[in-house]
Amino acid sequence: MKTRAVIVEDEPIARAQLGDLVGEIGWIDCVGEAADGLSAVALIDDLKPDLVFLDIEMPELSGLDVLSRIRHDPAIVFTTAYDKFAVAAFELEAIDYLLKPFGRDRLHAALERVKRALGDESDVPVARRAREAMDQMSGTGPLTRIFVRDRGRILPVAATEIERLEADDDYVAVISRGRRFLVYLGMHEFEARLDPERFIRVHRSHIVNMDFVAAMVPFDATRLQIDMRDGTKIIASRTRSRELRGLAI
Amino acid sequence: MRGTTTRLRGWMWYVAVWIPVGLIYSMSQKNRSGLAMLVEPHPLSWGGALVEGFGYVMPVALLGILIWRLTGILAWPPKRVWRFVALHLLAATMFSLLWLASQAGLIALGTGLPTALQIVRTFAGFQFLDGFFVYGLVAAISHVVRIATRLREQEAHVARSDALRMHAELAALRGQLNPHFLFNTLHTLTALVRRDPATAENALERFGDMLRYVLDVKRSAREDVTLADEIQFVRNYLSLEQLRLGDRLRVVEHLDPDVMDCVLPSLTLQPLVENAIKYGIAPRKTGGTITIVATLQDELLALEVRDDGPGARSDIVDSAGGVGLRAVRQRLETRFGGKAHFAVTTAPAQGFIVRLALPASTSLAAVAAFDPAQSTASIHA
Repeated sequence: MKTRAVIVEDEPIARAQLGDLVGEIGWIDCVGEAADGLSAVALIDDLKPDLVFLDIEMPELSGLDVLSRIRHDPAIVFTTAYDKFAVAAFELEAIDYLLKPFGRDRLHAALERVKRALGDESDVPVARRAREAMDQMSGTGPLTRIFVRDRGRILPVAATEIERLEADDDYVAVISRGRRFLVYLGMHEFEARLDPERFIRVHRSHIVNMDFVAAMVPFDATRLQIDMRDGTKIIASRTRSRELRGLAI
Repeated sequence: MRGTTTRLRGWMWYVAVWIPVGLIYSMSQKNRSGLAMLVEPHPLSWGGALVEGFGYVMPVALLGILIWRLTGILAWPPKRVWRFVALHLLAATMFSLLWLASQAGLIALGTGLPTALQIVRTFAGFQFLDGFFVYGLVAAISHVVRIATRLREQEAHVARSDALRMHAELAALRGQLNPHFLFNTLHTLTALVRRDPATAENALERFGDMLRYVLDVKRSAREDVTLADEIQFVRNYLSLEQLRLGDRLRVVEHLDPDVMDCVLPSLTLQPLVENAIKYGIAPRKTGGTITIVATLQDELLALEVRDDGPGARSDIVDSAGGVGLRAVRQRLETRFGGKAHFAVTTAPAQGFIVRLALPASTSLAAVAAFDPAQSTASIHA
């Protein structure tokens, strides 16, 4: 059976293009289109599609508002031109999204992920993740957990289980229980959202969870070396070393 | 305008300047010679010399405050020379008489009035002329100090308005290259490439023109453009937004052909249109109409951008206001002072109207050399 999809997009040309591109894909059947948030809610609850392409910036109701109102629980691929907050939240919850402008290639890449996720019943439902993403966005408290991708599957990772974070080009590698998960987000976003009591940025490229630090020993005259419990050694920067020394009583 | 500290510092300077003058007079009293010896043949003690010296100078210092005030009223350069000269001559006469009277009074404290008048009579003529000389000196210095202060304040004002202009320009440019607009437009173009290559081509040309306009303004720091240029830019912008929004965006223009050659600061009109789309059109499913009006009213170029959208409470607009609107308003203020007008009319469900007016001129140079303090608006049509 084909995957039934609905397209929600307020701009007519973008909507037609997405319809065309999705139409080229054999395993998807596009069953409906909506041009604004309110009719999208009605359409989704009426047609109960497996997959929704949901634009964020729309008249009447935004894509995020649509998400909080629908009762049906489809897989969702968000589309957005420029919404840093939403994108950060999507990354932290491993929610699929497409940044405009996008064409055939990017759409196909996103749909490959969706295909795997739809076939895997053990996945955390996207609607739940997306709602939590919105709560995280509007809340002021630190992150309690994130979702990461692991070979097409979505895994929750509690913040207390994150041992450390390491910058890796445009990604951040999240190290937890000896595994590395890549999240396409800056160190800065993590630093701002993680509990500052526990997570300390010891270097431009390193944030460590103090609960997983075995010892801090002098590396040279000005810098500290941080020994993690798993045996990893991280050299803190000069300024951070000074601050870390200040923490010691 | 000037702070209390500045004023206090001014007074301290004033006192500090008079102390050496008093000391010099005291020394001349101590070592008096010639005419003075005839009046008072006994040499003076230092204390007596100081009393006499400062007794001589103090009235001048006190009257000098009035002279300083007067130079504030009779500003240099004088508008009517005869009035300036006459008033200063009158003031100088009064100053000399008062100075003389003060000396008579001081001497009378020691000798009694009849003797004092006799003594004063011996040097009254000399002192009267001396009074004119001292008055001229104090008045001249006062004028010079005032001119210097004014020049410094003018320089600071120019620097301040330059900074404001840069700030407003940057804000306008940032608003112009609004990432939402950029990425959404690029997405539309991506979508059009296969579906409708001819429209895509046309849209890309317009997009290129828009970028060139913004970058040219930024690169050459060219502030002023003709209304025709700005309108063309706005039309390019609107045509791209129309591609995105489809028939939700409707545009009506009422442009008086006579004002199309008028010049205005670049990026004055576009932020208003962008604001109308962002708040008046895009949030509504059914869209709306933007009306752009350009007319000539009482030697002013009057522009109006109106939408029929949801509007807003005007008190909220006053306190918040979009960055784009604020930048335009600030820029007009620093540029034209009280000669430009900017007004927002809105109410919930009543749409949003921005009206602005600025001195109408068709000459780029005339606007560039526009001095808010002196120029009057003129039409070179």
